[in-house]
Amino acid sequence: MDDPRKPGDSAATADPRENHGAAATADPRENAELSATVDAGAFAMLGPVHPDERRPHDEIQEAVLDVSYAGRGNRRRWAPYVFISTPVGVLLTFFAGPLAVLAVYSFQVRSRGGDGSFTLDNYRAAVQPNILEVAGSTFVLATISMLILLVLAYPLAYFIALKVGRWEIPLLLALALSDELNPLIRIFGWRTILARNGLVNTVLQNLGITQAPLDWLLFTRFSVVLVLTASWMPYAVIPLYAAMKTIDRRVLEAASDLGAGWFTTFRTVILPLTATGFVATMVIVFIPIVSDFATPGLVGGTSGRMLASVIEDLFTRRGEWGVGSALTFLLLIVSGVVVYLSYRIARIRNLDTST
Amino acid sequence: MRAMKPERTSPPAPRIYWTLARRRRTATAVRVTFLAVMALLLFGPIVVLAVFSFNRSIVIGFPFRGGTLEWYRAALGETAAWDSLRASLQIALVVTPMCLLLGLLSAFALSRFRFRLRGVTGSFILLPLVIPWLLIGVSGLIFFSLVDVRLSLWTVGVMHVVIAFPLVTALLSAQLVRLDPHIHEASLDLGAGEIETLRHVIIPLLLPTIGASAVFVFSWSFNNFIVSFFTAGFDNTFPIWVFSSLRRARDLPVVNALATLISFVQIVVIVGVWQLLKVRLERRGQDIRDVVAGA
Amino acid sequence: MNQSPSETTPALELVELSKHFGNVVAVDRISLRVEQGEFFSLLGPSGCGKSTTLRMIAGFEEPTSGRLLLDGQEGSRLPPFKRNTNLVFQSYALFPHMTVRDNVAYGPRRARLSRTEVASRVEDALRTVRMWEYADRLPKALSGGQRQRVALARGLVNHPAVLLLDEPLGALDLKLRREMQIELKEIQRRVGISFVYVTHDQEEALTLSDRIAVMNGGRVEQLGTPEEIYNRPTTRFCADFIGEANLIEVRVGDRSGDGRVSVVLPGGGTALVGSVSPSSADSATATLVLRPSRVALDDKEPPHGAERAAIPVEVRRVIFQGSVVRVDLEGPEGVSLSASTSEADTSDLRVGRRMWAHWAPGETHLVEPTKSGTP
Repeated sequence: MDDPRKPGDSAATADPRENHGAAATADPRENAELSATVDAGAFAMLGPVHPDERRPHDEIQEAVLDVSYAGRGNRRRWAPYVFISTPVGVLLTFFAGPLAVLAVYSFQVRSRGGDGSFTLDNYRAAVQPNILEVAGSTFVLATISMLILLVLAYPLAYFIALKVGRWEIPLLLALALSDELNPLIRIFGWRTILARNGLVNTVLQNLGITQAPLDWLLFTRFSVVLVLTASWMPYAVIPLYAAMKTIDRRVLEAASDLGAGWFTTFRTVILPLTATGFVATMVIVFIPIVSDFATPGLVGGTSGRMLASVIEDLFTRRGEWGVGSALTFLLLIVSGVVVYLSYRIARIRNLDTST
Repeated sequence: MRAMKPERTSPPAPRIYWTLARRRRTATAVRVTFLAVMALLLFGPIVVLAVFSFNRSIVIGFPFRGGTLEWYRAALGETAAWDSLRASLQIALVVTPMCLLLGLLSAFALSRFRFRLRGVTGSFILLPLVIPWLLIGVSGLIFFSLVDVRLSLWTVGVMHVVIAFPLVTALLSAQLVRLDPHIHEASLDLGAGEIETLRHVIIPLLLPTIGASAVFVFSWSFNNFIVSFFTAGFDNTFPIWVFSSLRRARDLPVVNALATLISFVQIVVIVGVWQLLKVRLERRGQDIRDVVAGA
Repeated sequence: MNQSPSETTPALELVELSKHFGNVVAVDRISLRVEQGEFFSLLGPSGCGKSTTLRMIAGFEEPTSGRLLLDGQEGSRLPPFKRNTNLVFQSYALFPHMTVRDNVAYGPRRARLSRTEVASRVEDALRTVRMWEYADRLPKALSGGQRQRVALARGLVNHPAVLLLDEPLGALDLKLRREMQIELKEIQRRVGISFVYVTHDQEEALTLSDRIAVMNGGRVEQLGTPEEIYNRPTTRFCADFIGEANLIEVRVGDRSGDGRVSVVLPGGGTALVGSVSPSSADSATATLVLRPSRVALDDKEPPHGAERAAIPVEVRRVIFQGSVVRVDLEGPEGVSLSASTSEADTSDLRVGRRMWAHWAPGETHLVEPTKSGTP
């Protein structure tokens, strides 16, 4: 019957006080919107936020700039601090503390009875040519592994999220399963497959494809890349899967309804919508790959040596804690830069696609 | 219009029909092949180990000299392995509840309250998830030696808590944010205080996610090698034992048998928990896929 | 309802209640009383402050100033779980992990009632809303209307002094909504609990309420029975928001001593008006409120005077609306108004036809003009 909302008329009310009121009530919603955006930013890493899930008539947002009782004034100001203090305390003591110690340590003369005085020798020792060479090859290997990983993980995530229908949940289970299996056991398995008398060589020789066993299968850069790729696969697929899942199915249907083939749909819809997830995944897999020393240590041999193995060596066998700290700290800085740059790129991409 | 109808329902030209069908079949073939290759990458090594654990040969590899349970019998006598296994289980069993508690507290504070420095605190708590484990392990090593704490399974446990509880925070926050805030209010409105609301409403609703978190954290702790390696001192966890055995290339068939056994148990437990979670989640109208995506 | 306010304690009384969010005034010094057993509605457009008011009553917002009396006791500082009020949410907010029975039993259990008492109350409440057969279902297995009933039962079961309902029918489709309106009114009458009902739907408010507070911009514009609000709107906003209204700018002519006021219509004719709201008192111009259903059309000029007021018009548009036909008209000085008629045969109402629109002066009201004369 009558439309209960006639917005034009509320502005026409005679009393200036009411006009003020009408203008004022328009504001809180904007505030709520604003705080929701800020929130989404701060909590992007905590998981998906759904600002669009608001109900049409939900005037409550006007009042609830906040969830539940937080609007009740001073009553519970202390409550969040009670909750948060223990977790933060644990991290300050056993996470931030040790990292600070590591940073300080890297600038001190400590190893072999050092007196703790300030020095840059550790950093000088950490940037020796032979270590730099390993560092260079580490970043090359890590980058290659990451790229292969993404090239394989992306279509896998795409299939699982959007294409396989009722196989989605079983495949997810398989993924979770491989995620939870012991990585060292998996490395052991790869050694069995790639060894001189391993599965691959035996099969190849028995089939007459090769005469002698292939030597480049194990203890080479090839094996390092292969094992790194296989080991960190679930870590790459799951965030990509999550990103694909946020795509509204109707958008895809709309795309194909508008005559886009699967490739066009992929290029114009899926790729832009998952760009942020893609960059996040790069970061998620690059960091553990760079700092993995079990894989190069067990399947890398001498040619597949990586920075993490050098650090391990400095700490466990050579007792060079100062140099080790310096090198570790450098690794942190490089990773930090990678993370930061990735986020910047993701931001820019995100802005581009949203317009 | 009616006269047009028979024409429109007649089958499309056979050749086009055939081409479409063939294209679809090719697409399916590509997909299946791809999935098979991925399955080999992910599970191939474990399957190979499992097969060779029954091989009579002392060398893990071909030729296959016939089935045996010899290595499993030998594994039973490998006390160092069982000790490390017990250590890993003990650590994981202590670490898991600690992580759940810390994760619940932090997730609750971050997603239910607004307070100064909330954004900073949230980022800080999630930071361990993006810092390389190598760094955390090494810094732990230096830290504990500096404050004169002898490295042991305890120090391993502490560091596991540091790396794993932020994961719980992330999973639970994602779920809490999704929860209708009016459900919380409804409980208060019906006469329940904060603690009662937590106990009767929030925790039960989070239970499946808490369960999933527990599985993740337990696995992380049980499987963790890098952090344990630096902070275990002279103690051994199971991954450390596997690592040193592989490095020294000693008793490999025994390691193989144990590895197969452990993997088997892990698979059974995880599939079981998965099914349990799936059913419980479905009963509440939630979806296990969201929990995985939240991870 | 008919008892004079001083004799009984009102179920709820708000005195100069305000809520500010920062420097935004969401609720601006509102005062009202809800009597025992009354069905009271807060009606207004989105953002008028009605939900904030409700949330203050429920205890989810602390008032910035003013007093809030529940059963005569100051209650504005009590937390929600210590108030004798219950809120039915628009989203229902049922606990998804509990059966219907456990949802409804939640309140009584928190009140530490005995097991048998809880069981009998839950059964009562569920029977009241005709959901007893569904007691063992999970909310997931219910339809929207059924969830709505359970949410209602969950509030009623605690016998609150006031039951607060926040657009409880907002998520239902039109047909179900109509059915639930009737049922809700019936339930309220039976249990005798005071309801405070928030809605933006004026038809719903008119159907259900004993009294209505029309809110706009954080203030109460008019407070009264549905009849009063519909028939004697006191502000332009109310006249426009409740039902359809022709709003005609007029000059106030003669204010005679007996309270009857005559106005100068567009085109120069004069007419008496039925009632004058305080908002238009003492101003030289005013807005005449005339319901389209009261406007009659005629070819001949009707006799002017105390019984009839009329202006010449031209037919601009004829819109068939099912049970009624709406005729848009243009009068002198470009004034537009509409008439609605339920007459079946309107074929002779051609666009451009010149006619007379006339009405009984007693059915018009005078409210404040568009632009206030006072600065």
